[in-house]
Amino acid sequence: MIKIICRTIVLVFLFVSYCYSVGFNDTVHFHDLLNTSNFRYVDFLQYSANIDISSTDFYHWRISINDLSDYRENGWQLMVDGHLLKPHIYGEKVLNQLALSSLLIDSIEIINYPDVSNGNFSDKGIIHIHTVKPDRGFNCYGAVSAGNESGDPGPYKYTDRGSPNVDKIGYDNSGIIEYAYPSGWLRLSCFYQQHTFTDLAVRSRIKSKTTDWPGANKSAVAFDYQYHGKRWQHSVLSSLGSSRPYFLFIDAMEQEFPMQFGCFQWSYSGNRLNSIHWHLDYNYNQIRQCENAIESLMPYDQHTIDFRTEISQKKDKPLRVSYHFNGNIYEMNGGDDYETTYHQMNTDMTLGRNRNPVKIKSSFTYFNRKVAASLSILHTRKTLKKYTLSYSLSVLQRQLSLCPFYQFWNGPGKSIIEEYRIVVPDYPDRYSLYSGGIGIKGALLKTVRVAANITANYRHENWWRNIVHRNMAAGANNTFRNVYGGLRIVLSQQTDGGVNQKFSLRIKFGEHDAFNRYSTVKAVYCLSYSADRNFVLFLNSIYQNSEVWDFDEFSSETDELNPSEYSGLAGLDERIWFEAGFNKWCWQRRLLIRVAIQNLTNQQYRYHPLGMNREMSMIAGAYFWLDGR
Amino acid sequence: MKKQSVYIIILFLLMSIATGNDRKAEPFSTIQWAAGPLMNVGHSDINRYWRYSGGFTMNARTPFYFGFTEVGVALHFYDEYKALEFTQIHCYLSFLKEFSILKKIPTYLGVTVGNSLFCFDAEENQRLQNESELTLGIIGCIEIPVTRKLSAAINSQYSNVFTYHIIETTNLGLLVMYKITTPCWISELLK
Repeated sequence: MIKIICRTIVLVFLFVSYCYSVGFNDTVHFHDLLNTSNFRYVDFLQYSANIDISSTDFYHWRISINDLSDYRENGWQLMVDGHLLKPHIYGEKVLNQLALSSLLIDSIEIINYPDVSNGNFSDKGIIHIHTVKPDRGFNCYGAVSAGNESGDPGPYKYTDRGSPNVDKIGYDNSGIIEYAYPSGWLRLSCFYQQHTFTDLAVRSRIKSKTTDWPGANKSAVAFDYQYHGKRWQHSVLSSLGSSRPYFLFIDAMEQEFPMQFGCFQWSYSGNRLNSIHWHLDYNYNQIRQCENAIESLMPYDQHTIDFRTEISQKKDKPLRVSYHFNGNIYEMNGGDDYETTYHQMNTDMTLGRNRNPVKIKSSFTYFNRKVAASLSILHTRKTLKKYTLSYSLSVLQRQLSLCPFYQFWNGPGKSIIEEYRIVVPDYPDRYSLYSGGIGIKGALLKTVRVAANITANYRHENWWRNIVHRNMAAGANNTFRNVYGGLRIVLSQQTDGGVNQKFSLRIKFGEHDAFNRYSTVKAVYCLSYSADRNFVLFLNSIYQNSEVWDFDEFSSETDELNPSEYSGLAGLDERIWFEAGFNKWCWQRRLLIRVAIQNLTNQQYRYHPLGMNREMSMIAGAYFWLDGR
Repeated sequence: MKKQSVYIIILFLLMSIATGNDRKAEPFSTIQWAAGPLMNVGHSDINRYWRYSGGFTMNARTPFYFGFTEVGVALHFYDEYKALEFTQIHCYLSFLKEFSILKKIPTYLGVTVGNSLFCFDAEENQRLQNESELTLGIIGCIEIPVTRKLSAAINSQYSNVFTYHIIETTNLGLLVMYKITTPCWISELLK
């Protein structure tokens, strides 16, 4: 009885919380996207010092926002205009599979700490994409872009010096039609995207799994409707996407698996007088085997329904209370179905004066007959005339199996790869995050803005991993602990002469284990010069220090005689990326021509020791707006 | 030299930004058409497999913020020697700055970015496929005015085609140039 009472007390006081690096959310605007060499909005995440990324193919990005999750789980939440979208493949989010063109982006907000947004709590950060609001009347716009990567055989192809093609950059085309009226708009968008996997690092692995041409072809269509009345607001987003084939690298297997991926999202949001909000999101993901696959993973269908409602009171003491229901069904093709549900209650309250507000946020989640609760306090002070100081302390405890990645591989995934299991024990099924942060931001000189913050974290996870793919008899019992701190400094300058520059530096220190493999130092420098409104020249650089990858992390003591074939690879060397390019607007800003060269120094640049190398590449594109932009 | 050429491009871009306000002409106010034969000078790896049999280029140059920009296409013909013959179609975009040593003889230096398409004669063998690759280079040009609109130019270009085995070429061209005032509609389109 005492044990039950203690357990209940502990569970009730399990704190989930926020404020990891308060006030340091990154917001990327459309013009920031233009001033880089990347044509896919996802690729822009490389330039954020708050985000760590890993990829074997420069297409399927594994993202960790501000160290809130390990490198492979992709546990952050994805929102588009308040709609909660879940394009998932084997428990991982795939941002590139969304039916969204770069042209539609107004801004991308990256929430760096556990937060409640639109009635939804996310403990591993949120990527919230805000689309552009159309001007009144009819408009259509579109984009075509393509790239050419160096390292092909050229004329030597038919000589004794012949070598294979290594192109990775495919097409990225989109077309959008929209009609806007005073109280809303309708928008129809179509996309086609291609990404090839001919790089030598992955070519042989893919060839052993399929006879298909090694390229992912994505086609998608989306429909968006918005209504803004005096009292009521409604928003509907529906999108349908298909990728045939798609290749997913599973690190424990050290192998890409081919599949056909289809997804459908339908989401409705509404509110009355901006005080009662409701959201209904339906996400469907379909995994099928490729026709020409030699070996593929088990196909399945996933249906997810989320219902969120939020009541807000905005007077002198703003208060928001929200409820979130999630239902999730996996229909396994050849296995048992798998279902999960959870309920969540969130509150968000602001106390104090406007200059020095105190925010108190809490979240309670009921899942798997357990309750996780949260409480966090954030205080922001205007200290000096030009500076704002923020500080916070937080504790977070939450069920590990709430994360889609662990939920999948611990549940339905058990029947997909018999050899690969990540087992979350029944008790204690939890991970903890204790974090504190202090930050300051303001103006340093007349034109220079500065932001700096220091954070400290302690993370503790408790789970099993059981990998038997190399004839291992059993796995290892792991308790994963991680203690680290971080320093982040951002300096930005905008001069009257048209020169913009931004320097971001992130340094991490502390104890890192195999699941935190990212470089500890990342520096990003972006320089652009606008000769006038219609011509911009840019030069960007990214530095990352070396990374250590342990390829025997999945091995246990019983595996010593049969180590990974990649045991010899120790990691990645330090690397610097340079890119330069220009944007030229023509025809009264109806046409935008973009040309850029990536990896100017042609250094070996990769994000995974087993992955592709991005050689020097040229990318060119043209964007067109019928009414100008 | 391959990496050095890249650093020269970065240096050129930074220099262009630094001297960005040094404008001599209104952007896109004139177009200077140029055409002429090309020849390959020097000996590089590619000459071990093919014989260069000549080339031809056409381009258009216009004032562009802090210098000039040039778009053009060059054809290079390579005859069969140890490997199958092909034609290289090099489409390029260049940024040039004027460094006049003599007052009446403008001299230009710049960088060029482009794509080279290697076309094989598919009629002979259906399995042959065209290949394309990124090309970067450095260009220099000496212009000798003949009349107000007409001039002759000696053009030189050092370029690297970034194939697996990088192809280095140096070309010299003798061009005839003709300058016109940009028609309003083209000027409006470009602005």
